[in-house]
Amino acid sequence: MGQVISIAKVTFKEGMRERIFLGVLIFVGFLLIGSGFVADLSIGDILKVTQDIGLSGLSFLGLFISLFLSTHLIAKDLDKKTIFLVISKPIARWQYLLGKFLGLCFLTTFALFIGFFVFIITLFYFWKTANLFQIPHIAWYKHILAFIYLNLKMYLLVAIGIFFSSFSSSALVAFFFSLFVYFIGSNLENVKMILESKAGENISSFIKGIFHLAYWLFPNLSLLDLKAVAVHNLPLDMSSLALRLIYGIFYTVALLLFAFFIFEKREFT
Amino acid sequence: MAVIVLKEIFKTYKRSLRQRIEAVKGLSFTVEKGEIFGFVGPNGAGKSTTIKILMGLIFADKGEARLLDLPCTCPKARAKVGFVPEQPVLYDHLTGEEFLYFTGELYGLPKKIYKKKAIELLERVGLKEVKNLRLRQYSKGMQQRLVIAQALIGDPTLIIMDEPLSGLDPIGRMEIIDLIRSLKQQGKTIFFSSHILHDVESVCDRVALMVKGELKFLGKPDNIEKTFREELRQWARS
Amino acid sequence: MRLIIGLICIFISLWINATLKSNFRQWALSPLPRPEVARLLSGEFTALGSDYFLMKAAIFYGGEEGLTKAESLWLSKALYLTSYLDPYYFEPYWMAGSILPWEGRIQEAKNILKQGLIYLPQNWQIPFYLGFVSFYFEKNYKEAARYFLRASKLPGAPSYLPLLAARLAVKGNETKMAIIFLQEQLKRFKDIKIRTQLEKRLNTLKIILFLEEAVKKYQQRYRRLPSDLNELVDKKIIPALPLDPYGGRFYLTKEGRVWSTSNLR
Repeated sequence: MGQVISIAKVTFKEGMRERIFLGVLIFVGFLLIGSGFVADLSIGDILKVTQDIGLSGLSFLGLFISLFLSTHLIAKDLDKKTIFLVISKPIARWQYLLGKFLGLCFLTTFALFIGFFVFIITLFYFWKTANLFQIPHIAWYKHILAFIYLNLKMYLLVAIGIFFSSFSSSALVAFFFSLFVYFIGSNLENVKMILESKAGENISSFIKGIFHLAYWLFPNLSLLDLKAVAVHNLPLDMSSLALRLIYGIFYTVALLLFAFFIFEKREFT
Repeated sequence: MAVIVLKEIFKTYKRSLRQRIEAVKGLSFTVEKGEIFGFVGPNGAGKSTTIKILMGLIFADKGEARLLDLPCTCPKARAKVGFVPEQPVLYDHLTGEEFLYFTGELYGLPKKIYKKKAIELLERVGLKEVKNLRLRQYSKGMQQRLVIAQALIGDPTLIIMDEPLSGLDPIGRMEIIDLIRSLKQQGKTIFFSSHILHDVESVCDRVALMVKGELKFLGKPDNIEKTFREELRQWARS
Repeated sequence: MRLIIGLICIFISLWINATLKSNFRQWALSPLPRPEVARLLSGEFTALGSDYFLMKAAIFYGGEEGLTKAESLWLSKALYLTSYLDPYYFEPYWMAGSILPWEGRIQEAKNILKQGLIYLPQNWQIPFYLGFVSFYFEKNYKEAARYFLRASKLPGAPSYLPLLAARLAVKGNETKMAIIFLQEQLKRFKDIKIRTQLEKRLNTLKIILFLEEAVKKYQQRYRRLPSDLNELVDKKIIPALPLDPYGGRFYLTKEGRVWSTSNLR
């Protein structure tokens, strides 16, 4: 286990020392701080727009780290053959992948935490200085909950990145597959809503059948997305929250196990 | 006691659906404890493949390979093995010291032990001054020395090196050969590969000559070049 | 380093782009995606999409001229899109209810508001707007009363709502109702351009109310409707015929109501 942590630490350091990581972090920082000013330009509810931009910015930051860095760092390891000096030590293959996974998760949470901190400060500032008819109620604790679930969603995405990296030989291919899964996963509920609405009546049952298959196979990422709950202060259902958590954990673990299995058989020439 | 055992090892690479390259065909030999064993042959003979099989990086199609009396697919087999790959690449975002600590942790050594060993080894390979520099700032020669250090930090009984002498200047080659001799004096076993016959002749106790995936000779290295000159020439022409 | 500077430049240029409202009319009128397509393209970022289209709709409406038929259709589509992308967002329902019916888009307004009933069931303003549209534009007093009653039971509803429901039975109160309604809306909008629009409408309705009261006085005195609004001036009930801020001319309808040739647009 100590070896897993060791690899996790090295992965964390590697991510932190990647220049592109810093770049994206700063960009999102600006985005969050600027969100209030952009919201002011918009004629909608300034606080709602600030929250939307902030939470979306955080999602985007998390997305970048989890999908891009996970595929990039592992592919780099394999490409440059730096992995040789790790796999040739007395550790099992799965320990390497688990270490990578944990390192990337720490990295994601670290970056998201900084972003979330900036977001809360910005939101608080605009909340206090807002010049509105009514100062709306902001559900601060729901924001914290949304942040926790965002992290879980990112861990799932890291697992997706690792899964595709476990057998793909190119970082780009693994990244695009991961992106594809992300896109499908984010839209599962949207498509379901469309198919069940009036617009969906004319769609063939063949397509509907394919969709149902996809619905079970692909990760339903919107289950871990609590943005609307936080921004609109929607009611929370404890059992629903628990089920979402379990779904996220199970799917992540399943992906990792598949990745371990595939990676065990991989050859490093 | 045999530290390396290879029995009827076969490995074929499938480049595409039709093209198959038989890298290793029926390879069998053992390496005894305390000897310096040279593994020679022309480029493409299958030496790197064999070493990678031993280190668990690739898997043999058939046959048995054991390290320190454990199957080489088992991670524990590598606990007392130090490995120097061919053209090694290091995590260049780490410092020299960080990398050695990392290696120590991978060997499962307690913190106090690996910290102490790291300092000793850095001193021994002459990298103590630069231990806090990022590895990307090291020269090729410095990186090579660090790779040697990381192979030794676990106090291994067996050291496996894949083409350690290639690309080195004469002084570098001398240093490696001296190192190999000093390691033997400490009771360690060294197994290394080379495509330059002269190098192994001077330092090895025994050699195995491999050509086109097959073992052609196993024994003392005297006059190996003369004995096999014809055979090697034929290979070079085909 | 270069990457960071590049990202900052992109951000600044986006900001400048948003502040350049000079050609907003053209920009705002660009074609709208189909709601389903917009939703699929937004993925998890539907809230941002909603904010974007609402911003377009609001900037567009802030213009001074009245809307053509095509323009009002665009506006109703934009508001529908906004509420489709983020059904829990109150703003689009409010804009739909306050603006669309005046531009002749009554059914579109009702469609959007009905979605609001489902997603924001605790919000009194949505059934209130529906009630107003039914009453003032569709003259469906029964439906209006139902909506007002529903609104009056929800938290935060003003206490005059049940009274309003009662008043509906009495004909001739449409203008007063519209004035109350507009005054309620003015409390919420802070954008100068939209406020100007609403105030203009409010003033015109007040003028209409003034004229309607004058017509009632005439009826009381002469036991018949005046043939023309000018008679009110002749008989010295009012000093002069007020001008329509929308540039039209006030006239008396067959039913004895006052309206303007401008249709308040």
